[in-house]
Amino acid sequence: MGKGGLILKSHKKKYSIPSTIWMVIVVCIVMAPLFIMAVGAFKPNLSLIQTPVDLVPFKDFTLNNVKKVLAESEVFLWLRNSFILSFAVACTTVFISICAGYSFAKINFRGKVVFFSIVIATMMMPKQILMIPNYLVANKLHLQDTMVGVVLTSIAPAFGIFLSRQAISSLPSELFDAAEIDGCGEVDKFFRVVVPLSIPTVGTIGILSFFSTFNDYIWQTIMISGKSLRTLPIGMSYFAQLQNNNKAAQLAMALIATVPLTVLFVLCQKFFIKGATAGAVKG
Amino acid sequence: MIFSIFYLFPLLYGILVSFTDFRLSGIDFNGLSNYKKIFSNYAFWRSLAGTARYAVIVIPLQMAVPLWIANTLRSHGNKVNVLVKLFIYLPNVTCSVALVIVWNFLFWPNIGLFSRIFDNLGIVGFSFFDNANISIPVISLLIVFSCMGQNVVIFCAAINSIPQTYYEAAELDGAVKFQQFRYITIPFLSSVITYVLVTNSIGALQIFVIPQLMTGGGPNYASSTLLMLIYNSAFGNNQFGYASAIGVLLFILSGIIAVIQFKVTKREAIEY
Repeated sequence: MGKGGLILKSHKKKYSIPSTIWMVIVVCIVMAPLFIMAVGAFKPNLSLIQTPVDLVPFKDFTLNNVKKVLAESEVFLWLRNSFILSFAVACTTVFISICAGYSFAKINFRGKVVFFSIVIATMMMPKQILMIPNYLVANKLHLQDTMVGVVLTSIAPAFGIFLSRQAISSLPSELFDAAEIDGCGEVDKFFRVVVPLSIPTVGTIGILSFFSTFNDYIWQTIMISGKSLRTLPIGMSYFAQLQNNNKAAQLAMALIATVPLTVLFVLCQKFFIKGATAGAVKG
Repeated sequence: MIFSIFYLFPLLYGILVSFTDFRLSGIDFNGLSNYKKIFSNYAFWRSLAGTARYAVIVIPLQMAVPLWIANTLRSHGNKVNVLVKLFIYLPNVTCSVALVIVWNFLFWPNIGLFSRIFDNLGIVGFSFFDNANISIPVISLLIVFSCMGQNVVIFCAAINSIPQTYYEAAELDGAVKFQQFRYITIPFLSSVITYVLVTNSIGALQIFVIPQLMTGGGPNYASSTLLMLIYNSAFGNNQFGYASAIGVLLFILSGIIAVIQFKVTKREAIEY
């Protein structure tokens, strides 16, 4: 695929100014909530509820809201819970995905095609349809309101299986044959050949499931009712109801909840792009 | 392998529950009466209409705006690309509860920022949430703007995989930007567009968190969606059988929509 003819190279970067302006406007709208969050979190509540509103950055700068959030909510507990939960879900999802992806890619067994199409079908199926049956089962098994229960029911590896199958089937079969000749059993083959070679896929699956678990509100509100297990989304909406009139404190809370994930996102950006395009774009 | 059982089991169990009068205290088979109850229920029809109204606004915008942004980005340099994608993707990884806090600050009746602006313009007591004709479009726009990133990234990757030579040839033939977009970009992207259309339509059937936290489905189910109805009747009113029946209908509905869209938009993939 040519990168473009030499003669026309100068034309390549020609862009139209009106559509660029529109693009900048869209980006501004998209970023507006985050901007308001970042500015409002450091303002006294009065500047937010007065008319006209004062959203000038660094004017009347105050740390009171952040202090208030730290003092009056258990934000660190919520953060910790969310991190533990998401980390556990990510690890389990990665493990299941790689195992299943390996067997779908390289091992022949009966009904392989049927099973794989079932996995793909669950990817298209709205996860929320399983909400009620899953809840009822968890309730029967007394897993409701326990960390183990939330972790087990949050695992959704269909996409991961799909992704790792793609990656592993692109590994040359000769590698596995060579490993077998050198005396590797299935388990050795898996841990010494498959896992090291699919580290980028592991990263993508892990990061994606970490974030989707971290931000999942609906399932966590269903499963968690106790105070000590509250995760960040639940805690945040609870805090927002409690501080209904103190908009500045709410925004500070939202900011505290957003910052760790934003940093993580900026660090791991390429995994997201890989994950987003994996199902859609070939080659 | 064994894993798929864990998916199938809840699904079948859900279908089973939909034929019963399931309360956490006990279980009784009552045949089709849940389904009869659904079709004679005001809330169900309102939520179905609500879901459709969200979908009608969200799906086209969520396709068109990212497609157009990706097309604009094509003629920009690498740095602009990375930066715009980063910014647009950022709300995707922000917890939706945090975003709702900000939007409530803007749209909340009486004390919200926009409500106060309307007050100053002389429209006193204007509320975004009392009237579904206003709240549904507003919430749909918020959903579009916060979930766009994924599609932008997908479309960008797809557009970048189109060989540059086609555009150069078109330019030599005198095709303007729009013609290039219409006759090169769109045909090349048709399979990606189908994929995004299907996943976004299924996504639109599952709109939940943002309306639930902002309007709660009110007034009188006017801005409710099917998923909100499922959630509220199961976990609010302890009607698990009834909620499961709606879940089954939603499942069938998304299946039908996916099949129709694949059939309608299926075209020969272009080889290059």
